[in-house]
Amino acid sequence: MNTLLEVNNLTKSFRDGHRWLIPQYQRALGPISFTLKEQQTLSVIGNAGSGKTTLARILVGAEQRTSGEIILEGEQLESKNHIQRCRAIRMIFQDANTSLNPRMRIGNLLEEPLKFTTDMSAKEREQIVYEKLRQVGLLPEHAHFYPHMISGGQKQRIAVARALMLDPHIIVADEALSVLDMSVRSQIINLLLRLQREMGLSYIFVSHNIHVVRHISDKVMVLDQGCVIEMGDTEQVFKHPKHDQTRKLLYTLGQ
Amino acid sequence: MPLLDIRNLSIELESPHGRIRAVDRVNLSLNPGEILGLVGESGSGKSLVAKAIMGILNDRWTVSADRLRYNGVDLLGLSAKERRKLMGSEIAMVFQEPSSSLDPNDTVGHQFHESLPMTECKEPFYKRIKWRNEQIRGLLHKVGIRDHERVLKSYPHELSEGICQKVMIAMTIAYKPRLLIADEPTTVIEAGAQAQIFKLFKKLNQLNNVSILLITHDLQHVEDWTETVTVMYCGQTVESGYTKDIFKQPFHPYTMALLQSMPHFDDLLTHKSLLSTLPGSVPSLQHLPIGCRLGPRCPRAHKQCVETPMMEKSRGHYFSCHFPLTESIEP
Repeated sequence: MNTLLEVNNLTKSFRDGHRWLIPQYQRALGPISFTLKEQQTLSVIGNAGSGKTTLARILVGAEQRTSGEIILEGEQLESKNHIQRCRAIRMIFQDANTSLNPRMRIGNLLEEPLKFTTDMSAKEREQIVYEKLRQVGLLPEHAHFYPHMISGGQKQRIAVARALMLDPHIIVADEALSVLDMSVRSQIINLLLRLQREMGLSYIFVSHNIHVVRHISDKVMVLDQGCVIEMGDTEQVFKHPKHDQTRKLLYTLGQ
Repeated sequence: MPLLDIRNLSIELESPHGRIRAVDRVNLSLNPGEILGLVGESGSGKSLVAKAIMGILNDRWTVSADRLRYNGVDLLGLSAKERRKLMGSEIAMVFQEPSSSLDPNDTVGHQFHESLPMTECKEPFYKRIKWRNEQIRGLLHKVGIRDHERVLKSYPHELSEGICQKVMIAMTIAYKPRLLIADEPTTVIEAGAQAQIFKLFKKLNQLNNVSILLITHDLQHVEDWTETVTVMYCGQTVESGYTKDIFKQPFHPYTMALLQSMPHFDDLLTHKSLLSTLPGSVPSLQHLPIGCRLGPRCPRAHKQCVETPMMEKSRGHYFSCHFPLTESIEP
């Protein structure tokens, strides 16, 4: 399997006030390096405030990195090149109830990314919207609905469909499953697994539900205060955690 | 005698499409000193049941029950004033989002002062402020907040959700309630702090003999922290009994589906294999199916399921299903 994504020495610092007119910075993340292969799932776990969300946001381009490089299929991803970025890496947000615009029909919501980054005609866009809706297990008729007319699980499916719109290589899911109900959660997990098999997607999965993480991921990265403290194959990390902090984390999350 | 005894509780809503029965004949009973879990997906009416017990549903809802008794007192027969008095002193509730149930305009300390039971204070008036401060400090230490001075001076938005939830719990136990209703106490709290909150509940339960009604949608929490459990689906009680029994051998297809839908370590589950799920999603209140409400999604549904099944009992384990999963029980 080819290496899809390579991240080298990625860091992020936030401005933290002044001292004698000199701006002070606080390191929130990094330096982090990792690689992601095709059809693999990398899970990021860690305590609150360990930089999981910051990492996810930098990868999708919602936030700018301070230093380091992100290489996708041998090509540098630049910080400010949004069109290049958003075609390759898409995100599923935490809460579909609040991340879908309540004033737009689902069809319009889904064709937005196509409008912004491609020059397809309205007809072509419509075709793609229908196709993606079928892929996530909904009907083409759902394109005419408003988000409030469908259930929570279906909304999350719409969120997945929106992430799929531009045929990305990588999907970043930031706590995408934690707000869902139990039976819906397993439906969405099945959907993600099926899409991975059919379309060869890679996932970067931020979560604190270690049962789910263990089930769906190939590699696990444990973050603590912005630094990687352990990384390896899922079974390896879960069965024989090396770092004390990992052991503690697995214990508290496992309860 | 059970502390809380609910029989055939129905909660209805008048709507333009006719009367909607959001909660349909739910039974609950909670013994003193017990932790009871109430599990169900969102929209299954768990919170409605809790609010009906507290009497804080608004006027659009009609509550009717064969029996809604707290400690032998019929709650539905009480006047509003008597009921409020009972609620204040004996039953307390912890709400879902702690930071939104605290007043954002006011410091935590000030809000805490308001919630103290001043009738218990036997001091003369000039010693009262000191008494209050001591009480507050004691309560905060009890729930595991060490730096009480910083917490009391801050506004709710300055504290983390976990700390806010602890403050809320400290406020509710100020009156020494006998029944604590915790409505999804940990959904917004990060995973590390969740265990702390549950440990705190367990401690209250063991030391002060507080009965706890724990409402949650996470089966993991139920398995770890409760003794008995009631499973609800769409406003109907599906199964209830001892937690251990139900997790070992569920009788109802819905409970079975819930248990299978959480990936477990010990199960022989192949990595990245598909999980078994119920098809479809929870029906909306306007389109509830007749009879057993699981009917359209149930893998074992038959013609008979259009009639609501009666509660059946087998060794302290109640379930309502025409076709229970009994054949897999070992003799």
